Amino acid sequence: MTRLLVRARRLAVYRTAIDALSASPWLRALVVAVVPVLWVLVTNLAPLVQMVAISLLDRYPLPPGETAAWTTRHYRAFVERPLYLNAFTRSFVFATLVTALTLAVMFPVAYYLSKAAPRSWRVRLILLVVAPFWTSEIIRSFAWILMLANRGAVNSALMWLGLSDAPVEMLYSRFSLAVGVIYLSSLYMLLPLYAALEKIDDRLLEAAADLGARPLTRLRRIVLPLARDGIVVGCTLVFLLAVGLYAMPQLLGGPGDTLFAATIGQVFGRAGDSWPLGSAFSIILILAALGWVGLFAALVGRGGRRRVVR
Amino acid sequence: MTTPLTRRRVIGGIGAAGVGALAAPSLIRPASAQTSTLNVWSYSGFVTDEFRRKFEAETGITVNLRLVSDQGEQFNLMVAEGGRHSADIVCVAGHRFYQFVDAGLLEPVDLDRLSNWSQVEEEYAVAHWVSRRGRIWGVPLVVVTTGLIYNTEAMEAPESLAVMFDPANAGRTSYQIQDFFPLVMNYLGFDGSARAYAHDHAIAQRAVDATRDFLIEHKDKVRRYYDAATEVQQLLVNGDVTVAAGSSGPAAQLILDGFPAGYVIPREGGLAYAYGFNIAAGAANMDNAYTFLNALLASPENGAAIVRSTGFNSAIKGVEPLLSDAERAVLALSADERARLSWVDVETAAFIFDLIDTAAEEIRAA
Amino acid sequence: MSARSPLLTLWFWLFVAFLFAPLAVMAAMGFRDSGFVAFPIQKWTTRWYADALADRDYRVALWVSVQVAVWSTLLSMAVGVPTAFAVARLRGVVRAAAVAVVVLPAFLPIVVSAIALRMFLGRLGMEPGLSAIAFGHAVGSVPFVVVMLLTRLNAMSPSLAEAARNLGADEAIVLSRIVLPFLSPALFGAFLFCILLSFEDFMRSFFLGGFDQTFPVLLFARLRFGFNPGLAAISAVVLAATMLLGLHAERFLRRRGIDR
Repeated sequence: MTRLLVRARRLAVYRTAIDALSASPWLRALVVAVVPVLWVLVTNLAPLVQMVAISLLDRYPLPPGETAAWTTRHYRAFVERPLYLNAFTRSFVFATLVTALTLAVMFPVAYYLSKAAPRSWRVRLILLVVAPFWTSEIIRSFAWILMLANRGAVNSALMWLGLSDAPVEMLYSRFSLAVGVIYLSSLYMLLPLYAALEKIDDRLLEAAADLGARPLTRLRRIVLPLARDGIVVGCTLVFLLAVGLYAMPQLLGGPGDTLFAATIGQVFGRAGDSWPLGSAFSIILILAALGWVGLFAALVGRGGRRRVVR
Repeated sequence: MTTPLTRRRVIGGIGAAGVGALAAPSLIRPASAQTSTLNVWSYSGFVTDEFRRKFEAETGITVNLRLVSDQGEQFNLMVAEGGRHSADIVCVAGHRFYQFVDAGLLEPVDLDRLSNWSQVEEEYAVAHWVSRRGRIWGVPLVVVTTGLIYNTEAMEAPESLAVMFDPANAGRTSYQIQDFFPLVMNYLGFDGSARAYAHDHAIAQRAVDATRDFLIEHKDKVRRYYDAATEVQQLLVNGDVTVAAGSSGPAAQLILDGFPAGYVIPREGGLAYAYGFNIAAGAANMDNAYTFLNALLASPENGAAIVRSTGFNSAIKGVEPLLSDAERAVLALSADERARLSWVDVETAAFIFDLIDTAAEEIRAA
Repeated sequence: MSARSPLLTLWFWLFVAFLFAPLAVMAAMGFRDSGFVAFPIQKWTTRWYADALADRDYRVALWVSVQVAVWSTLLSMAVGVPTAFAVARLRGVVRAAAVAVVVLPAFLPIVVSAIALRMFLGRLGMEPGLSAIAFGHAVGSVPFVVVMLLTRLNAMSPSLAEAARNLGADEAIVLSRIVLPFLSPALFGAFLFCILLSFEDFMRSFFLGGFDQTFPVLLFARLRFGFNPGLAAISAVVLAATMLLGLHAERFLRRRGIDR
């Protein structure tokens, strides 16, 4: 690769272009920015604008030849119907808790993979952990149904071992829901944590140990601050996933655990002119989730900076 | 020049072949652009390979088949296509197909071009669910009824819906809210068909609200609200529920597989509607669509295959003799039970479904 | 937390057990001689596995999925990497706003973004099919690529690239010899995200697809009329195949690394 690039330097055109790039940071920025700006405009903003427009229509889709009036009633419906607000609050509380749980479960795993596991095994172990994610979300949800059902694997094992006489009801509850969501989202916590932990210099930890820092102190004063970016990214990804999950909560949650994304899915799934309601709810969800994640990132970021200064 | 085939080389070669085979997807032309084709959206098992091969050989029409899994999905997809439908035939004839009609997504069926319409059992050919604004919008293939499915080892055959709200069954029941809702309205003394409310939607809204509140109050009896009809099978087989409101197909499949399940139409009644095919509005291959529907109606073999893969009763003639004794026994309903069924009426009182949809979201969210 | 603590090792393997136990149960269910999956398994059969392996529809759908995964991953990386570089140059409020806009698709409920994309592509005149699905998956994956890379880019000291430039390296060399190698763990992670997100996606594939269906879309359509052991069997087969492939790729990469 490098040899190819060195050879390319002999071409005048290449040299001029590259030197111009090297000379001007602005030109560099322009070249780098063109693709992202176009992409964001075309794929991220255009559909969103369309959705905002639909959310302000009285009804949509429309029968051929008819038009709809503009209205904000779908946004008002969210405030006026306390039942929707319930599901919304539940979603945020649940997603936040699950994110915290996932972090607690995955941090040691990521630490093991990046620091403790034999170096030559790392990629293989990561591939092992990634493997289950090739299976579709629905199939994995069904697999958990088989695990947790009254006649499922766990209950069968408990009864066979004589640990219980009657099946323990685990499925279709907040417990099974949390297990399922952690199962689905763990990878999205693991990879950012791994990427962050991997770059911490081992010698730093050894030096701290030599200076008499106990394991917990090393964790608190060195590992956590240096892994802060990874933690923020992992929590962001998992939170997004947990707040937007649709199929898994439907399959593993109980009658009292309906999440807001599922409500939105229901509105869109009902085959009628209710797209504006679903769109309005989606906009509300997006804004709230962005705000929540932004707040989190800002708080953690500031806290971290203060610690470094001290 | 000969080169020894090393392992590296083989791998490299496979890589190159892979890239070649991945040739730019834009080169693959959309199937819908040709003329001697027919584009069909279908539920899994509704068009057997055998039928398809025979049909293609006899007519020279190439059938492009796309499996779909749900009515709302097809609705959203058709709307998102913005009038340029990629399908000629769709599979939306459940009890909500009126929404497709009202959104202008379907083409009325021209009976003059459907010479085999006489193959539809008389009882089903004239029912309300297939007509809207006085026209016929679909070709029925199987008939769905709704009732109670229960574990025969855990309980006696229930006679009334009351079993669903019995404290003895707390956390042991399940239902699909929208399908169950009209029956609960009947149970509470309202008119689940909403025919009585056709002229006064305010009364209908009050009836729906009362039923909604009743179901929220009895939420503790529910282990789970399911979506797809077959989820009820898993709930029963796993021992998570003992009784559920569900439809005939999943029940018949369970019983035929040897599971101790029973299926009854309770005293308060049950609903009946059909699954089948419809023609998409402005279908590009209209003639081929009629040829296909005619062939389907004339093929009891394909009809029997659908019955086997879904567990529902057939709507077309000549299927019953092709079934086994066991299948016939499971699919049969007593005369009493048949009398309790009512056709989902989308001609006079479709508005009730919109109210029920909203109520269902609220019950879930509660 | 000592690096070589046995507790840490135990925790890791417990996590692996948590990941694989349900899948093992599912693989076992593929052998159940019944129309439904459930415990106990009284009679065993290999018929479901044999059917799954012989089923042409599965093979066709899997091939579609593989093509879509490859194309969408290439596209997501091609867009995501420069986007991450661009965002990394920004500071303060502008940066926060840019990040928010870039990650928007990840916040959208997926059913909504799938429908919106379909309508949008229709307006652009793009036919549904493989390329539309690949495009749709890329839209969903780019936020993950950007977020992964940003973490790593934040940690990169600018003096590193500066030093290389002072030593006479041009931009392309700085990129290929310094920046990309430093980013490699994040690139690897982003790459995995893209492939996995694409391979298991249902919603976007459904709404953007034409008559060639991806594997999850086929699986869903079959699931509608019952979760039979055949679906458990084909899922187990796909899982085993991808694991073997991953192992093979890892060994291949490692060997090349040593050769060089």
